[in-house]
Amino acid sequence: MTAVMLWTEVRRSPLRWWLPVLIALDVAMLFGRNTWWIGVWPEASAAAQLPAYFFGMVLGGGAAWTAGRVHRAGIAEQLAAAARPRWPAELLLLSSTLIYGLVAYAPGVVIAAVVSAPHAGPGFLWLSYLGIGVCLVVLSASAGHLAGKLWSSRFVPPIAVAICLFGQTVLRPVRFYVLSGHVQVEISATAFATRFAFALVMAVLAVTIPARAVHRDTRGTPAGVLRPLAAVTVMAGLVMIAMAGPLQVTRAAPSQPLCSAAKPRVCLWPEEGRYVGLVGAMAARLAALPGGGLKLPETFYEAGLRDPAVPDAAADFRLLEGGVSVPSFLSSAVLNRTLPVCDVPAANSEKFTHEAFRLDAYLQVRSYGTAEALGSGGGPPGIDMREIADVAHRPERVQAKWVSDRLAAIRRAGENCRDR
Amino acid sequence: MELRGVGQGYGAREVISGLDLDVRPGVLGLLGPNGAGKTTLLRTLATVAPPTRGAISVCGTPVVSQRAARRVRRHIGYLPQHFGFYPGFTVYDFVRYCAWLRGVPAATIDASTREAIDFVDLSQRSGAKLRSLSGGMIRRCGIASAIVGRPRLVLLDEPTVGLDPAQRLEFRAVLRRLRAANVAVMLSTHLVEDVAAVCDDVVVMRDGRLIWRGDPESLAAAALPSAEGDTPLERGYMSLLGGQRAIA
Repeated sequence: MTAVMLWTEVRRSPLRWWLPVLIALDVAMLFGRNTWWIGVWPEASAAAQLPAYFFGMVLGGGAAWTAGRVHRAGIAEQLAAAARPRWPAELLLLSSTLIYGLVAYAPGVVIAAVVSAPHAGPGFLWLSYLGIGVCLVVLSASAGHLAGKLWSSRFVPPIAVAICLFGQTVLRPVRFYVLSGHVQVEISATAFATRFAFALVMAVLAVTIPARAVHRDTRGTPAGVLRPLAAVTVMAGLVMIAMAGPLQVTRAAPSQPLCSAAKPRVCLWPEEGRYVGLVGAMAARLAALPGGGLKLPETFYEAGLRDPAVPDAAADFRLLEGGVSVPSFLSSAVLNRTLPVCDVPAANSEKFTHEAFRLDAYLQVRSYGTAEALGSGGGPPGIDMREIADVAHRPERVQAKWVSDRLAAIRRAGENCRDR
Repeated sequence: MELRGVGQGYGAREVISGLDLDVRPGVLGLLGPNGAGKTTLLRTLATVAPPTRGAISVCGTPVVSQRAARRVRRHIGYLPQHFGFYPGFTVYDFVRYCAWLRGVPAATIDASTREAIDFVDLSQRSGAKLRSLSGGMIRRCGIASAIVGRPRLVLLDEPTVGLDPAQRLEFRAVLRRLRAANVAVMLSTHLVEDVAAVCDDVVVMRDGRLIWRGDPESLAAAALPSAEGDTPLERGYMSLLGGQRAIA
């Protein structure tokens, strides 16, 4: 019978009108930011999780509206006179909201899996990221339900919930979402457990905290004790979440990274297999440079694969926004080996840096193939990108001389220069 | 249901005081001016507002805790003065929801729901949304929600307010059927003609006290020659309110 009653609540929930909006938000946020997560399971999982934060605000508002209907419809008196305790009726309401939240969340997850599967490396969607999204759905619905129960105004609850959830963006230690799922990190079990427990506690509070009394003579609900206790519980929960540490922690490197066969080799995390070809081509373009004194490493490593104590490990590349972020890392790896170590007088510091930046921009353009690699920021500071693009299109021997000239200028700007 | 020395109020203000009352099968009318404490009494009987003093018992079982109150609520149907409903519910959904709230067993809830809707002659509209019903139909739906699961005591707080004459006649027919079903009904009203039409017994309240109890004929007989009113019953009622006659 409870299932029948739940179905009744689902059918009459105001969220049935909002469901298309929630789903549209879910899909829009999945693809709206970028698509480089496609084919990388942890990134796809994080991308599928993130929309829950955005539509969570709408869900929270809907939950507040739904919970407030008890007051607006004047049902509170009938609930007070019921043989059943109040909480099963509240649980039905909250459950109906949660169903809409999870139904809205599911399409993004399914779509992320479907579009990723053809290109993906080993594994599947990471449940930890999806679980964070579920926590966010439960938290949003519960906070909204609680607000709707405690405040009678039809406008206050949605606003309050939106403010609370938006506040998460500034309160980093208690965030319930991640912006990305880089392969080098994973969800901390402790952080997840505390958030999961907190979301459940919020749901329990939302269901059990006594609602506003309609009549002053309605006694028997120790609201005066329970509400402060609930507030303390929420605060304690937030403190515990903050103390549980960051939501994402460094992940152990795989024993078998995925490496290309061609020289120079590129080694990536296995989950990012779809980018091996792209990064390998960038490395190959760098290998095809016309000389001029540039020194390439034998292998370009993705960050996290090597012990951070290895001297060059700091320059290992990251797939921060797909392939477009890689050239700057590859360029750094080349420059780390190529540029001499010099004492640079203060008077020559600007010249020294400027020449290094010109080389950096040139390497990025060459490795990516176009000036797109430099993104919207326009490349390193103070660099005339038209000049760099022009150089990259000149004959190879001219480019080799240009590179050689830059290195000579760097040596001239410095003192006591020595090769690495 | 028995009330002994029941007091009710909030803060220092006592809305009803020292009230003794037995409610037995049949229709008991509750008359009184505004502020007499009729709604408070019904809320106390419904165990929504626990008494500040005195004792309530149902079938010999004292109602001394929330748990005990919930147990007896299975046998109490209550239609509040401000009857709330979800406009988006159908008649059937709403009555079934109320049955669920009352703890009607899952095995019989659908049969009980249909029975209650049949009882108030709303079977033809059981699939209609409440927002589409007339005031009279809404009231009948409210009564269905109060009687679903066959409670032994039904409390109706001014259920005929806002009904047109035809709807009030329909409502009286429902009350007569309840009486025939041996249900104890307590009907709070301002309308003495409703009392005359359906009540077996009448109590009159004023200032939180029970000032009179008897059958409608006795109430009519209590009329003073100088009392205002268009019917003997109205004159009897007005005489009680103005004549300071306190009869247990």
